[in-house]
Amino acid sequence: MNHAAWKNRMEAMAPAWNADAGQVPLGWAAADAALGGGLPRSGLHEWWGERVHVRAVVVHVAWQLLLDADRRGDRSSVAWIGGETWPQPEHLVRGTRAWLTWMFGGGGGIGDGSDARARACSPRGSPQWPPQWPDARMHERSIMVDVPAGDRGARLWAVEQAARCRGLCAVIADARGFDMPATRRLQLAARDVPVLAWAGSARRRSGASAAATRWSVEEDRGPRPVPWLRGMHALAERIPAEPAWLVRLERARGRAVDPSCMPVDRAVASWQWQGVSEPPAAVRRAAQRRSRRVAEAADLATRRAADATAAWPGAHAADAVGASVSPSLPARRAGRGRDRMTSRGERWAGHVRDGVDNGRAA
Amino acid sequence: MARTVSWFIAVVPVRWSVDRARAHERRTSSRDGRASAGSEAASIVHAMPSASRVHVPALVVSMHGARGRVVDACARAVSRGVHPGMALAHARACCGAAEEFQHDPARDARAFDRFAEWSLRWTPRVHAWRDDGGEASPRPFVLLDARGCLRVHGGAPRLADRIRHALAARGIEHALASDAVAGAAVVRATAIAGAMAAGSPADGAAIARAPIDDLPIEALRIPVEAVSGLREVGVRTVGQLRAIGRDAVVNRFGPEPMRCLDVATGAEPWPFAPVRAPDPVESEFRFASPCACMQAVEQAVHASLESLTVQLRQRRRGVRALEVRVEGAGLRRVCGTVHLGVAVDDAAHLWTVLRPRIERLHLGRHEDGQGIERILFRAARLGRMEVHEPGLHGADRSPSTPLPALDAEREVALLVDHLRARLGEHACRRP
Repeated sequence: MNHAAWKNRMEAMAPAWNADAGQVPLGWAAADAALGGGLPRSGLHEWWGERVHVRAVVVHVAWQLLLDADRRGDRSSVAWIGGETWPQPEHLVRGTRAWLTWMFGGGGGIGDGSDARARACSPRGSPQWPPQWPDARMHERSIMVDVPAGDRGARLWAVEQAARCRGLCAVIADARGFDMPATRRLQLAARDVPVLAWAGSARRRSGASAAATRWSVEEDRGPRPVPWLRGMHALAERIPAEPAWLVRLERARGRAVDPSCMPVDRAVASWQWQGVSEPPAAVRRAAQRRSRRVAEAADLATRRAADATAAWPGAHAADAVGASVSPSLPARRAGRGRDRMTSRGERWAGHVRDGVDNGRAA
Repeated sequence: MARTVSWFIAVVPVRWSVDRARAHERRTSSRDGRASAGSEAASIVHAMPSASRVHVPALVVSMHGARGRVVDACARAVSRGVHPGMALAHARACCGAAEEFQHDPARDARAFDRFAEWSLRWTPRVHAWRDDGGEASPRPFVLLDARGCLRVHGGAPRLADRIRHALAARGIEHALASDAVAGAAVVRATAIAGAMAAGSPADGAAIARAPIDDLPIEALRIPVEAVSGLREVGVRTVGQLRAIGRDAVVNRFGPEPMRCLDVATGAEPWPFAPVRAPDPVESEFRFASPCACMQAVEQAVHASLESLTVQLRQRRRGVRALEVRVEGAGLRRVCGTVHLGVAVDDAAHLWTVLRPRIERLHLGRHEDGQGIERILFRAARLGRMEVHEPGLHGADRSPSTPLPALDAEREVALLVDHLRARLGEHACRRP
């Protein structure tokens, strides 16, 4: 058996990832191209680098997986296993700085489906430049699992249980110190859920792994743009650069990655300025309430006008109940003081209009 | 010596059929609802399935051939002129777009019985009354005998507030009244419910403060024929009925009106028929002799859990909180409650949750006469089990097939149970 046949047979026995699960584009052109469409939605994916840098990049990947699950109609959650992988609170809400994008016309990144150029030429609030709202879906659908960092067995068990759970769309795990059998177990368990495993600092890299992909992350110290700012803006020179990271795809099982020119992408914290165009539920409910009140007020004004017309056929309805019967604004009673009841329970306005005492007032 | 204060709380659901139908619809839509692909907003809307429907008028309709008749209507529909008994076509003309539900009296009755059982959480003595659901029949009600429970709940006003909030959270529009006399509480709550059903809740607030003599005679729940007869002779309020001689009323309208009046004023005791609490779902295993063998204990736990889950499936319920009691000879009794994230009727999952705890049990030394004698499981809290379509979400599901929201939440809850059982109660957190 030659090498190619042997490799094909091994791949058939234990594929690098579940092809049925599909792939999720990460927005990193080089990596997506090397992987043939994006990160597989299954298998173990190993991340090497300093904790803070890996965590920032993995948050971006987790957001992409969560948004992809939502687009497919899958309301699944994200599990963060191990205290070292737990994200910062601001990582769990997307679009906290979306107002910057809205104000300065930047963004135009991955996933929001907008064209930065078209937006730059159109006024704010137009369909090309809609207002952006924060998106707290990750906050609502995250589970933090606290496993003792020193208990490697418990950590492996917890990650394996999470990898087998069909209600998750991503598992972010602290996989430091996992050896080949452990990663093999996780690779087999992660048939339906991608496991993003932080394997440790790049300086201490050692040991073999059965992960489907291997990534390394380091801080980008070169010149960096301000993505939420429109390119030609006058403020561009005065604002400190946004943090950025270099993400290198070092290995992908089943894919040829040339070690001499690995795909490298620049990652930025795009989740901070990419919000959603749909307002939050509370804002939407308030808008519904407001529109309902306005409609009810307009309805009331119309009915009062009709009543007044019926009561005083000769008088103009708007004169009797107030001139404002606009459907967009609540009607205001201009002659409120004249329409009061007297102490004897008689309508004062009626006598004024009729001009005669028809026997009701004593 | 402290005197026991008698205090009764009457709860009258104002639009039971509508509330029941809406709750059913909400549950069904959340079970079957799936966010449409490509829409970010879909998942947000999905979190509040009823948000867009709350302001749509709802009608409960009974169909007789091609003709429909309104049996019950929500407050919004009532404000637009719809009333029970109206022809469906007329109601449609009044309401415009409205949600229409088929009237199901049997389901309403079953739901009300469950509501009465649910009310047992406030006090162990609950009286429930419901009619066959006829059009002219009075509204069903639940009467809580809060005697002896007021201290637990922090007083009568606080208990009433708790009940009010719990019912409002479940979307049950209700009238609530409390009084030292059971009949007075019922009469007052009935009158408030009548005012609310007519679309004037302000009148309901006034009724709550009004003396009982000012309430309409319909609130006494006397037969419809007697009410119409009394109204013909100008008797409209309880006070006017009291002013008439007893013999005159009995001779003309039968004994029922005066009996109802006596019950309302406390002259005659309320015919209290307590709702029986449902049998507890429990399972017990007794060893013939003290057992210190772990394998035997595990088998006993397995058998008990199987028996428990069979009972749960018969009731179509799952356990949310499981009380565990292990008693042994020469050993300390072990008691505890395991809380589950979702209703479970699966013995395998219960075993997964219990296994770390069972493994930590001290079984004693058989030679010293120590060992486990009795294992008892009791479902302290039950939850509704959602019905799944076989084969759709099972193991044969493709990974790319989206999991319905409820199933995804259930899977996550089971995972959390599993992790908490081994890693500790505080291992899993939500941000």
